[in-house]
Amino acid sequence: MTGSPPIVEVKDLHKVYRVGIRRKKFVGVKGVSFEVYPGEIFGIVGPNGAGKTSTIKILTGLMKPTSGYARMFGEPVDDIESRRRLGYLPEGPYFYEHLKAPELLRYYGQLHGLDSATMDKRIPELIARVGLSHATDRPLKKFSKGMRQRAGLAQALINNPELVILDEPQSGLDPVGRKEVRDLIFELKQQGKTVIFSSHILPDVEAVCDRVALFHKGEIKEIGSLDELMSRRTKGFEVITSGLKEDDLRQLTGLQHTAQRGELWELEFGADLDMAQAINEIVKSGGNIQSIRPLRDNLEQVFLRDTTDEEE
Amino acid sequence: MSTSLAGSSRALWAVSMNTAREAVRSKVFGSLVFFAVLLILSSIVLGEMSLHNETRLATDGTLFFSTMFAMVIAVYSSITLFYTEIERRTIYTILSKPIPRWLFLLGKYLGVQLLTLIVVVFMTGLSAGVIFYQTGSVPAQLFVAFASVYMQLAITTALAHMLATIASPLLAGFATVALFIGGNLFSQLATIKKILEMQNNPLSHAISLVEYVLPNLEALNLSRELTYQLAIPTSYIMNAILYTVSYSGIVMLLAMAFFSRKDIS
Repeated sequence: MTGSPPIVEVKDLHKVYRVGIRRKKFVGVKGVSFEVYPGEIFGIVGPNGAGKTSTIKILTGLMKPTSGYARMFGEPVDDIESRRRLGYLPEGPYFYEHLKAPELLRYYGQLHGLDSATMDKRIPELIARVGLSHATDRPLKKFSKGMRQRAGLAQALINNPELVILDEPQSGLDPVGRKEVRDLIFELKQQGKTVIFSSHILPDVEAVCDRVALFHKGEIKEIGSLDELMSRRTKGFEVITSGLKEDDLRQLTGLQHTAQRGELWELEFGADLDMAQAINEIVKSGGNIQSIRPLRDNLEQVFLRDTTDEEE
Repeated sequence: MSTSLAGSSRALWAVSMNTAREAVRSKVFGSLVFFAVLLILSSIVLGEMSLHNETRLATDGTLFFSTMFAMVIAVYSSITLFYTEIERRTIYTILSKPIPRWLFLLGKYLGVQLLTLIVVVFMTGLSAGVIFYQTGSVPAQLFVAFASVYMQLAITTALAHMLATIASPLLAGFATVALFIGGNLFSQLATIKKILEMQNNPLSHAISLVEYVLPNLEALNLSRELTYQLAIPTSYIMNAILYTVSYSGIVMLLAMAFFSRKDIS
């Protein structure tokens, strides 16, 4: 993946806002740098006000950075050519209420400069793909929140983009809708597209993203693959074994927690212990090892730890 | 290059048509047109109540009410449609497409211009009906006078777009209406300037500056020519068109410059 040049390149990005009557400075984005490579699903997570949407708005040309730079497809993001291969779904999208879904897509197709023949072919395909075929004769004002979100996804794909930026695409969706969005993201990946995906729903980020950037107070706290982020915080390892008696457990060094499940024992050892030594002791005590797995924080725990202030 | 030009034309057409459609669907637009029709028709009643002034009231009344209502429609549509795009965040999905910001703003302007044209044509027809009912004929000056109203509105719409890019909707609205009124009081402004000059008051320099900046909408007001059925030379019409295109063009260029620097947040 990292052999190819990045599709998105963000370097030392800063965004300073002026707020209030006194035009007080507020730093929304503080020295953010990251790269997104072709074909990957890149997650942007962080609490409200972490700088996620500001970064996305800079990428999509809606805001200008105070300093630093952002490039897409090798072009600066304020060059409109870089947006020709981009699809974008903003958070909580709102569309012209009087339009029907096919009219909405035609409008966005025209903004992309697509010709009528291309739109005639692509619009029904997209409508079917996002599951709105049953609602093509209904104006958007009669759409539910989930249906609007699907219409938003369809408009993001009207130009068959290589890069899709989805800002909170699952907000307001029920579990079925969330799964459909997940499936669509996987489908996009299978088609070789690159996806930048911002979300608060961490299990979904964990389920779909190849790499994640954890934003907090305008900075990236951590960035890497899910494995990297979670293995950085290996708390120890868990051994499931059979054939041990309660007395045998006292012989084992470094044991932190035990739980019995029928014939099986779940044994948790600390990260500082040599795993080979623990296994050796279990076997010597007559135990049969069923499984061994590292004990790591899930993304939610990593997120909570990174976004909890030191003073708290 | 030609593909890019065709693509840009499609995008410009799409933004303009969508703007005009959005404006027509507004409930405020419907109400304004309704009251405009009522007041234009009331010119008949006012004429009947006057003593041998039916013609004058018909021509003055219809032109005045049409101008006022068309101006309110143009200013309201320009400002609210621009702000609605930002408030409802439809602008996020538009400006993230490969269209330059100036094209979006130009599309909005042309959309409002299309709407204004429809409104002015409709009001011209209605006024012609009222004048015909009162006098039995329709003077040719009526059509030129309404074309001049349209030119005033083209300038006013450009000002509304420029102010909408830098100020709040309320402030932009009031400022545009103030500029419209000020622009229609150009001769009064010149009189004030003369008086101040005679008193050696330095404020006369400020008024000179205002005269340069303020659009001379009074020069585009042909109510006198319509009322007294005076001849309108072709050279006047050509100059009026040139003035409208130049002034609106400069204001729109400024609006585009302001908008290109604006953060959409």
